[in-house]
Amino acid sequence: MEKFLRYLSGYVLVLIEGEQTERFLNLCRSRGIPIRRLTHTGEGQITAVFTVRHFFLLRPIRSKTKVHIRVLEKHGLPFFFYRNKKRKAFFLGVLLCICLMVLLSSRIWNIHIEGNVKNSTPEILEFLEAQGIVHGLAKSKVNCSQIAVMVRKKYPEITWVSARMEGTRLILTIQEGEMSQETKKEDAPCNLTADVGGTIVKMITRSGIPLMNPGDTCKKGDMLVLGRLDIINDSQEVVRYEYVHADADIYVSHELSYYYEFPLDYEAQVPTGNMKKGFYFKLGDWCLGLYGKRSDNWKRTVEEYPFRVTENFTLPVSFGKVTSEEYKTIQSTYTKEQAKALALKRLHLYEQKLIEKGVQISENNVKIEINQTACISRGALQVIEKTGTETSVEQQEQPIERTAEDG
Amino acid sequence: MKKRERWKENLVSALEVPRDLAYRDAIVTITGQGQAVIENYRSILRYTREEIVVLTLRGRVTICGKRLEIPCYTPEEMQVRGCISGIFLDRQ
Repeated sequence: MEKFLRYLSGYVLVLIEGEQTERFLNLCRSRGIPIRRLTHTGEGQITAVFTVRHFFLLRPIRSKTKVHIRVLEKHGLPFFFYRNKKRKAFFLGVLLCICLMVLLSSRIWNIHIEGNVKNSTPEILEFLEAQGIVHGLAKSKVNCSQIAVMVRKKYPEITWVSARMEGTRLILTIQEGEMSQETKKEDAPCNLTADVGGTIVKMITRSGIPLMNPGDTCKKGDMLVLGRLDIINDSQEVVRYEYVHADADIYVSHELSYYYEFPLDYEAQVPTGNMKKGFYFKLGDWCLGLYGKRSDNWKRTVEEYPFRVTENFTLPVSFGKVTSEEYKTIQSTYTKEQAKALALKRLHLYEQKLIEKGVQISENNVKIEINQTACISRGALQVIEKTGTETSVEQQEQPIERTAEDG
Repeated sequence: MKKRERWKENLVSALEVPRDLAYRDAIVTITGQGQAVIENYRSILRYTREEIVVLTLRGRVTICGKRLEIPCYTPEEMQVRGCISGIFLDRQ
């Protein structure tokens, strides 16, 4: 820091010659003139560094001690300006730079959003843009509390928003609460009906009256659990009906047919090894491409890199890398092993999809046949899957309560 | 005179006043063999690359060595840098 201040005010390296150099130093000390880098260079010769301000205080000391002072080097900002006083464009540039810095630092250049999980950053940025909060907006026009209110209003699942400015950054800290999911009316009475037909293998009923048992066969649309409870009295007569939300885990085993056929002849695209690389530069809608046009038998891969000033401030300028690869189309035929492997791969993919859906596969009866022209996989999969769709309960008229007089 | 001096010394030790404040004794701080800082000095008597003689209120401090330089010389302190071989104190 001291060096920087010395550079700002300017300093000189001087050679002091004479017989009373020690006296010169002591007089400097007594007058409060600090000396830096004091070096003895020879008999009656010392070099020292003085700031410009202190250098001009040396005259009376010099005449008192009769030493000779010679300036060897000049350093610092005042000398720099003096040396470059003819370079007007340079100073204009410095001035322009300062002006630009002042101008640019009074604007928002980075809108940073943190804490958001359910609402994506681009989505919130788009909303802010629609509200006039964009990159490059003057800081004086930014009202943090208003932004926080706007975001909270727009996104009800956001429970807390804090908007603050740090330098040229606008930081939005968000806390999201639990999504106010449309709470299913758990109390709403309903039945459970089968959405697939098959044999019931497992059934756990939590509420409602099960109409079928494990081992029974059901068809699509059959009622499995009734959401109506008949309240009976001691005489086994229905006193009233109560309706509940039927709830049960019902697993049904059924057959799922599978068929997949593909021809053995196919067109393969084999790369020839010829590869060309190119670039392009995009400014808005205007594009400057530095790659040749290729004929049909070329595959083109494009990677685009947009220029970003800050994390979310993308300029309409982008740079792209184009890789073109030549290929030739050849007619080919799968061998039996290849065709079988391909058919099996396809079947495994299908099974994987079923497992992801929560379906258990208990038996696989798919056979792969290969004839002269095609490979056919056909058969059935025995699967166990959960069933039970909520359907509305037919509301029955409540039975008329019999009194003692009726009896 | 001696009595007065003794009385002052007793007072200083009783009050636990540091000696550099009470008598303006010189403080010489040595950091390794390359640097020394002298505080509470009066003036430079001699300065060459091999020897620096500094006058203090109570005597002289002589710093001997090779390539001795004074990077900082202010009214409060004096920094000496170089290859220091010895520091000698002479009482007046």
